[in-house]
Amino acid sequence: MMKQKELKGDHEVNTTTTQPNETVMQKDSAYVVNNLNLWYGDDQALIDVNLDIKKNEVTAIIGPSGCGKSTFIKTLNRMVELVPSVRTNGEILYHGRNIFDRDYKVEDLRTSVGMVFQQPNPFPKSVYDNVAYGPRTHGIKNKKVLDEIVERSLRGAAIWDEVKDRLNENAYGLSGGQQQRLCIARTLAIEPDVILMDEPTSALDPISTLKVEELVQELKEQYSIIIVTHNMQQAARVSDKTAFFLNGEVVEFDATDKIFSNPTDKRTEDYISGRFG
Amino acid sequence: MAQNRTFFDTKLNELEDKVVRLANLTMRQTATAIEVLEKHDLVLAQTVIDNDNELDDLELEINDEAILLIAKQQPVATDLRRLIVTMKSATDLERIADYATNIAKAVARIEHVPYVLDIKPLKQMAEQLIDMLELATRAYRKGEVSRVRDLNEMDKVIDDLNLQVIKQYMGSVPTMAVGTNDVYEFSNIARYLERMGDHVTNFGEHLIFLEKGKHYDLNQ
Repeated sequence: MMKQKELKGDHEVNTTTTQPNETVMQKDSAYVVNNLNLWYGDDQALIDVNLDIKKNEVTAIIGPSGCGKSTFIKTLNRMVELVPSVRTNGEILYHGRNIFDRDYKVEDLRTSVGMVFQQPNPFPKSVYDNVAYGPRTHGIKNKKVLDEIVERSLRGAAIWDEVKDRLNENAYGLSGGQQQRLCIARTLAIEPDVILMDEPTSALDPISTLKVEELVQELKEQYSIIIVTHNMQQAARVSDKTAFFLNGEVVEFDATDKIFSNPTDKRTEDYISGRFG
Repeated sequence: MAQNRTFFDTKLNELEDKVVRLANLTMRQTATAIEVLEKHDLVLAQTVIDNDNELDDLELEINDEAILLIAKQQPVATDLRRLIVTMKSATDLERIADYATNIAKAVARIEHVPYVLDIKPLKQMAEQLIDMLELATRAYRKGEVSRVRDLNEMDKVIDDLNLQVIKQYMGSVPTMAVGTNDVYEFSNIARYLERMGDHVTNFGEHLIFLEKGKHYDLNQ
């Protein structure tokens, strides 16, 4: 709260400070978050967040509405900066570099960190063009290379068999579950190493949800995945670690097995067992 | 903090009440089986045997309801442990009651009355067993596991008495004129009581798991 007062009126987007108790970047870390604070205007949305997010793991972010989980995940690719009144302090180390550094190119960050949203959002283009869009933006013109990327990405998103004969059809003709996996394929096409998922199955039917969950399990072999979910069972099923956010703070961050069998904090227990939220 | 799961909480409390009821019935069956032994009362023995169905049904009821709650309410953490503990405890309590029935049946097979063997050690074992059951049931009802670890020491008393009494009974075989059948039955009763003690310690272990989320061996 002291920090909030000190910084009142300060509307800078990137305020980087180094804290003495920062977590050291480990080789197996995808992200290390140190003393991250974030404000929307005068309202503090994230308070002293410290997390060490490991590579090739699925990290679930859970918490009631308004707890800061979506804000947090959108901070990891600096998408949150699209909100004009946002300002932050603390640091987020990605591959050892603070993503808030003034010379950090946000385009580079977003090439490495893909994102999948709550509502499937394919472009009003063909299945093929949806997946080829990213690589083309990065200058790849060769048809053979693009064909390979499209097939590899669609296979990676476990949707190739369903769409291989309809590559030139409009993506809007796919079911919701297929559209979401197409969006995952579109993310894979730019070869990220982190995939952020913001409630990726909340608009999907149960079968499509399970397909995406299975896919997440397969993808973690190659990618680090951070998933925001309202579905507690989903967090339990798919994740290796779980962070429980409440009122902008991380109440508990631990192995998912521990969180769902014997959490340390009573507030975590109350939330995961449906006593509030 | 708002409590959102009134229905689930009510059902879970009802289920735990059923486990307490099963524990009380098990205690009653055990006490009656010992009375059967003391008095060689075969009418009472039949009552113990007949009553066992009620306990069997109650155990199945507890298991079925716990399975339904798990399937429909998807509990986690303490809620899930509470449900698992109702099922595991019900199984142990039902087994204890089965042994009480076995005691009643064994008494009915004893050929020589008045008894030719000393049953005082068996009564001591039974008293200790009922004390253990009372301790565990009270701990479960009140959610206080602090004294549950005492079950380990209490069970050792039963184990020691069992060894002594079996030795005593076996030692009497060469000098007895009544044959070995009664020695066999009395020895079985001692063994049943010893096994019952083990199941009470299991019940205690479930209670520690419930509270701490960790496994603990009370049968060392």
